[in-house]
Parts: sequence; structure tokens; C-alpha cells
Amino acid sequence: MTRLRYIGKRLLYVVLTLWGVSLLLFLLLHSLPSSPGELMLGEGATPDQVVAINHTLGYDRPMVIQYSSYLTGLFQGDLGTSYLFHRPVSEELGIALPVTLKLAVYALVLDILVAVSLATLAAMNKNKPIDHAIRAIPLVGIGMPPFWTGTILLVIFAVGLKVLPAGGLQDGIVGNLRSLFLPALTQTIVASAILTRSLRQSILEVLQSDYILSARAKGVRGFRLVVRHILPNAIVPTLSLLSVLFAGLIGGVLITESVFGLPGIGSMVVRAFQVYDIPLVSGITLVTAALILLMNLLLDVLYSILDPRVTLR
Amino acid sequence: MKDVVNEGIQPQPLHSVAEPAESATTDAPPRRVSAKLTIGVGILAVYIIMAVLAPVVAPYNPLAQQIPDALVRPGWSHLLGTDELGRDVLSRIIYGARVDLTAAVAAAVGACVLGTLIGLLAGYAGGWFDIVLTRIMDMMQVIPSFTLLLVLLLVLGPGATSLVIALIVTHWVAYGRLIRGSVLVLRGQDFILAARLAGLGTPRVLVRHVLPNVARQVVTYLASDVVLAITAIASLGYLGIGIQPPTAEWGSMIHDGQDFLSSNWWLSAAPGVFVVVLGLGLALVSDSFNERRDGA
Repeated sequence: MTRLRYIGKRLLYVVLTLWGVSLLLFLLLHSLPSSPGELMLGEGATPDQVVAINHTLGYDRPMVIQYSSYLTGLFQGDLGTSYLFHRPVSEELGIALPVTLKLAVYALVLDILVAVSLATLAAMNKNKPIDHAIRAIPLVGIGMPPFWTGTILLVIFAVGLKVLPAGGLQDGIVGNLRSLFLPALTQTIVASAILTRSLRQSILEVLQSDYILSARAKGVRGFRLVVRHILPNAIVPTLSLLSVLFAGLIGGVLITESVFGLPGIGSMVVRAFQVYDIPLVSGITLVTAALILLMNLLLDVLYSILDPRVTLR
Repeated sequence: MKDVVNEGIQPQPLHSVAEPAESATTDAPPRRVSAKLTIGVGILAVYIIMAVLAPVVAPYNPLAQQIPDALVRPGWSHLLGTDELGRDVLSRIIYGARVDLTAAVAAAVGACVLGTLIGLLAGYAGGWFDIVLTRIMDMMQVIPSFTLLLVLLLVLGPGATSLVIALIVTHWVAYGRLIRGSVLVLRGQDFILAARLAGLGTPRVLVRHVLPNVARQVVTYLASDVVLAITAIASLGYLGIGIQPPTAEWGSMIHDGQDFLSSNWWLSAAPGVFVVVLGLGLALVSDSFNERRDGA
């Protein structure tokens, strides 16, 4: 199948999955014990006020009608109006999403850098102390909740050494890079462990191949051997792992934002949850799902470009 | 069968430490295995004793406030100091083990049972049943578990029971995929065909012949899943969403300690260390199970 047809097919799959997610969210959030009117007005509201608000929101219409108008809205980019901000959810997301995306990409890049260095170091020193030490990292890393790791990093770098800001987002590229460094590092400590492990295994397999033997026979050694001959071949199989990691990364990023007081969609969804802002919660959930689906597609296509042996189905 | 022999382009279950395909240890000397398991089980035993015997082991009542003794530094009277309300931190951590450990184990085991059941049925039955379930699993996997948890907690309301149910709903998918994949491989093998030819019914084949062959894989994942559940529970507690105060819970303790980072950093650090060590114990157990399977 040509690549373009494959991408078309996958985009259709993305749309269908998102439709499923939207249906699931709609059904779940409509099974709430209280109506939006009751949730928005609180306990002091008279029944008339509740009825009036529910009518304005269209909540008194039949479910099928409500869902079809919600779905029509989705196709036009309308995610509803936030109860909390009294503004369209899409506008709120437009402000908050870039922060989350910056952090996610930063964390992913840092993740890959750390994993590549550690895995190479471990694989080239197989069964030596440094290899054992690197392989022990995931055992400790798995139990590190991102909010705790973040707190510890804050204590060390912001409170103790005072070299990095203690939270919030600074302007400009340098400000962004500085203030997002600790949040990204928090993610990396947890996520890079899985990547390192898989990459190390992959490097060990490459090391046994004939082309490495012949490169060595020709006198290629050290840094050049690693960068030109080993890594390009070892990284490709781990790319398929990245798409799985990305979903976890997004989930972790959402929690990390709250620790560092970053104005992304993670902090927003927590606030929305606390005030029962249903359109905002479901909008954020839908957008993150779309993000993960598109990232998976992108990585799969990249995988097939880098490794022509992979057939796209 | 086409899903089993795919070209690595299909989404795979998210594994944590225990990735069955790549054994970190085929090159490690076999003696390390038992050491890992011993240390892992030892750590778990300490936590379980701590949780079960909390009233005996804890030096103070975890909820008793002694305002004059607020923010006492670690010392002989309070080994880990006291919090801003004068409550003993060590006692709160010990009682927290009850809350966090029980909820996490309940959630992981519940997810394991549900996921195993669905995975067995989907993989063995095949057909439209499998297609529908696989699509549902695909869908669940693209929603970040954190936002899905929030949606479910909105619907279910606050409380520990809701939390456990929400965690089961978000965690079963990994088991479902794991089991379905293994069952697809097993289904074509001779001993399963022989069992079916011998006239055994589907339930019997599944329980007596398929399940034992996937059990170790499930247990391996279960151990690391308990860690994921603890992290999730603590994260929600940290955000003030999960188990409500004044109940001693590790996540909310870390959160409450954050106001005193510059003066009393151990208020946040200590509960976290307990989470990390527990994670280490479970990871060691999970890892050594994994190695045994590879070694067999």
C-alpha cells in the first residue's frame, strides 16, 4: 500500500476512534447524578433557576438530539462553553494547549537524549558495574510519582541552589527553556527508564551483527562506530515504543503542570474537575486523545520512512 | 492470527518495568535472581506488616493534633518530626500504608481479573466479539488515564470505593491486551487443539489449559501495576481529588508538606521515600518473576 493511502486510512481510524471517545464521554458525563443547572448554581438555587439554566444549555432536550448537536458542534470545532470561564472551550484550550505541548516535546527530547546516552553507555560496558547501575534505575524510577520527583527537584534546584525558577512560566525562548526544564526533567526521570532498557537491548543485538564486525575489522572504533554504525540501526526498533510512551508522557505532563504551577491544560482540567465544568473536562480529554492518536500516526509513518522493511498496513 | 505476526506497527500494551519480550537478564548470573526476589519480598513484607499492625507499630495516633508540637524537627520523640498541626509524620506514614496499599492492591487485582476475563474471551472467541473488544481497548488507550480518572470520579463521586472502581476501569486494558495477545498464540498450538479434540468445552479449555500458560505473565505485570496504582492514588491525593483529609494518605501528605519546603523539606520528602521504596520492592518481585519465565 502506498504511504499516502495508508495515512488516509489511519486518519479515518483517528476520526472513528475520536467519535468513539466522544460518545463514551457524552454517555459518562450525562450519567452524572446532578444536572448542569444544579452543579452550576449550587445548593442555594431554586428549582425554577435550575430549570431555566438547564433550558438555556439545552439539557432538557432528548439525549439523542443533545448528542447530535454536540457532534455537529465538534465537527465545526465547537467544544461547548466552559461553565468556569464563561467562554468557548476551544478558546481556553487555544491558550493552555501550547504550554502543555511545549512541555511534552521538551520532555520527549530530553527523554531521548538521556536514554540514548545511558543505553549506549550500558551496552558498551555490558555486565560491568556501570551497566548494572544503569539497569537498576528503572527499579527505583518506577515508584517515583511525578509530583514527588518534581517537589524534590524544586527543593534542590529552586529552593536550595536557587539556579532555576520555582514555578510558573517565564516569557521568551530562554525563559521557556529555563522554567520548563525541571518539569521536563521530572518526566524524563520516570519515562526514560523504559526507553533506556529497550534501547540497550537493541544496541546489544546490533553489536552482534556482521556489519559491525566488518566495520570493526576496517578499524572503525569508539565514537564513530557508535554514532555512524550502531545508533542508526539500534534506534529504529525503539521508535515503535515511543508512541506507547507518548500517551504516558502526556498523562504525566498533566500532573506535573500542577506541581510547577504551569498554566497548561493539566492544571486547567484539575480546576475544571473541582467545579464540575463538564464541557471543559470533556473538551480537554478529547483534545489529548486526538493529540495521542496523531502522534502515534506520525511516529508510525516516521518508522516506515526510516526502516523500509516495515510494511504499512 | 495476523495481529500476532505484525510488523511492529500495531499499538502495544504499555509495559512498565516488566517487558516480557526483552529480558534484561539473560546475561546476568542466575544467583542474582533469588537475591532480587528475597529483597523484593522482604520490602513488601515490611509494608504489609506496617499496614496490618499499624495501631501497634505507630508511636502516635495519626490524627491527634498537638498544636504546641507543630513542625517539630526529626528527633527521638518524633522520628520524622511533626506536621503543621503537630501530628506525628511517621505515624501518619504508617497509617497511610493501610489506605494506599489496600486501595492500590484492590484496584490492581480488580483490573487484573476484569482484564484477564475480557482478554481470554476476546482472544479465544475471535470474530466480531474480538473486533468490538479490541476497538474498545484501542479507544481506552488513547485517553490519558489521568483525564479518564477525573471523568470517572466526576460520575462516581468522591470516596475510596469510587477511586478503586475508577482505577479498575482505567487499568484493565493493559491486562486485556496482554492476555489477548498470548491467547492468540496459544490458540493455534497443538495441546490446545488436542484438548478441544478430546471434547473439552470452552470454559474448561480456557481455565485449565490456557489460563495456566498466561498466569506468570499476568502476575509479572500485576506487581508493577500495583506501583502504577499507588502512584495514581498518591497523585490524586496530592491534587486534593482522591482520598479526603484528615485520613493519612501519602499523596496528600506530600502536598501539605509543600508549603514548608524551605524550612521542613522532610515533610514532603519522607512520604515520597516510602512510595519509592515500595515501588522498588514490587519492581524487584516483578523482575524476578520475569526472569524465571525467560529462564524456563
